[in-house]
Amino acid sequence: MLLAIGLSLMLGSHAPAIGSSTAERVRMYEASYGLTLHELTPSFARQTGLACSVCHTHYPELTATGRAFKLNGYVYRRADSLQGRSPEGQQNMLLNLVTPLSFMVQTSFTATKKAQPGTQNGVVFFPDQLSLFTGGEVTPHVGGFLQVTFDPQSGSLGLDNADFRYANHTTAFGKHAVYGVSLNNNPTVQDVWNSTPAWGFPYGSSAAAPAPTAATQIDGTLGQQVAGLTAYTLWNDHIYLEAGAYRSAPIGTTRPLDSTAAGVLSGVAPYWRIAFPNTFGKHYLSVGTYGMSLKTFPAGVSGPENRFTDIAFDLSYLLPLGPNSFTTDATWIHETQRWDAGGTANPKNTLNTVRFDAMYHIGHQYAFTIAPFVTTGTTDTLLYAPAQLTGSRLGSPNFSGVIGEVDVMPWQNLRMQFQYTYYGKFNGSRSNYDGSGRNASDNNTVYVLFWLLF
Amino acid sequence: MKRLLALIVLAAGPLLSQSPPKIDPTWLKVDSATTKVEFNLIAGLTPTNGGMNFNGAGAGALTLTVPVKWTVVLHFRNSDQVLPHSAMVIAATTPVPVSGAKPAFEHAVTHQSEQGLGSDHHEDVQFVADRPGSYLLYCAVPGHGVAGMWIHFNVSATAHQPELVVTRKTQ
Repeated sequence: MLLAIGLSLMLGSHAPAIGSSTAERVRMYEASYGLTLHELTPSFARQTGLACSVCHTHYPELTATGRAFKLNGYVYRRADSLQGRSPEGQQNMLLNLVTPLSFMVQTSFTATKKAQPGTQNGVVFFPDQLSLFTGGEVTPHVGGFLQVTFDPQSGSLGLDNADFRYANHTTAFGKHAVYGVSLNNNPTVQDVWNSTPAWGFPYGSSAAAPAPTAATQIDGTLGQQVAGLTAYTLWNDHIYLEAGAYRSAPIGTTRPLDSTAAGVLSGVAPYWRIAFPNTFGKHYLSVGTYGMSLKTFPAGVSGPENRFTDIAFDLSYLLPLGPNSFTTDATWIHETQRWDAGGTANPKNTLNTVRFDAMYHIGHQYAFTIAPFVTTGTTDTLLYAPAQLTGSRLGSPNFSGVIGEVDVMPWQNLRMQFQYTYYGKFNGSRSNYDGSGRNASDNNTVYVLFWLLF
Repeated sequence: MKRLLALIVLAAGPLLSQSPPKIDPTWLKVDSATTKVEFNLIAGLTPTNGGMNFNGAGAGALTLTVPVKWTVVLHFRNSDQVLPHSAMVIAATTPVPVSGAKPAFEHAVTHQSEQGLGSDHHEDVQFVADRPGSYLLYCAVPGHGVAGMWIHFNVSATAHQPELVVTRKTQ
């Protein structure tokens, strides 16, 4: 009741001073924006009062505003809040009046050129992914993003990406600087460019289609298996520095970690990130490097360790073209592997991944993407052993191909994604890659995905 | 319990908490001899509209009027500590464009207008207001203008002096 009265009073007394009433302005805003106050995480849209297209070219790809929102700790707000104050007048509570919850429902259809052995081709997922998002401003300098996802294959609900951060700003060497710390569970999930793995293209891919075996550690392998604390700063909008460390924090595993655990990090894994964003006329370009070094126990929490060092470079580019835009993201990841714990044919291996995507956006309704990818590495007949469908006849991690995708978004919170993945090489070869007669092209995949965000 | 309730207040967000902008007389500098006007255009000067304002005014709450054929110098500065902003003079239109607008006068735009200038960055823009009409001084970072980051800019065939006023409510 108290709040209802308060709200009524506030709306009444804070009508815009100039031009029109609050109701008129809201109507004008709705008229100009349609009913589009939704975002990748609509809870952010509700907090900021901004449409998807302000922070995303094509979610989750971020615009300058989206990067600023994330760097500043997800705290930017244009909606009402509840504030608590101590008897001395100090603010000690800040709560969004809008519940910071939103949902993502995905449903999909997957078909490979040739059915996987012993399975029915044409896989329908309903849902493909069901996610609950919560996030936004917690205090004036602390905010977060948390995704909980239902996996239809395991039938379980689990923690997905999470990023909580403190952010503030200051002046350093005469220039503005944003700084903060991020607590997250997936290396690069805290990054504000879509050239790094966690938020890189493809933004949706089939869980039913065969996937190549090899992947570097930083390329999603550690996602939701670690917790990391990193400190960052963006100085003068031109130099971004970040450093921190990750430690094992797997979900669904007994604590403290013991001999039953697998892939546990030995100690902590340092992570670094440097980027140089800049604007040249209408062109926005960011180039940078990122990486991490880690040691893992293949089984248990003691004994011989394997060592991985990932060094990556990335590029992110945006060209506005009136209401349209062209974006490109690219990354190259080089991983050196030292297999001191054995289990491989070679004591040392390398793995190189290159990904590139070029996306043309027609307004905010259509996007056309072409995205070649290639991974090469040391042949290792134990690490990449032959196996039907998933193995390599040659013991090779090599694969390459290209993704073509068309996205249609009649509403900013509704996306229809039509994706085709072509493999030129899969697990080492073009034909009979698994030693069981399957060709790389047999894994070519049509993937149709519908996203709903609300 | 009563005490606790008393300490919890509804804080209007910046979207709703707009109050009439206060005009600082130093914002406008007029040189009649050279028919030149300089205007300190400050993005995100106050928390009004979440910082999406020029000189504390959002959604047309200020009007800058200049005589036709005067030279206009905009001393643009982004005081918003969170978001990037830019400035562009566009033809008055309803609704305000989300993105992709073109400057109404040659050079009447800050560079990197769609990316915006970062916090505390500044840039001077100079152009000649050579056509009378109704225009907007608008942030061209996508979505900012339509969210209310614009003020009126009138080029008048009858005015003799530049003028900055709080926009009348009837407009």
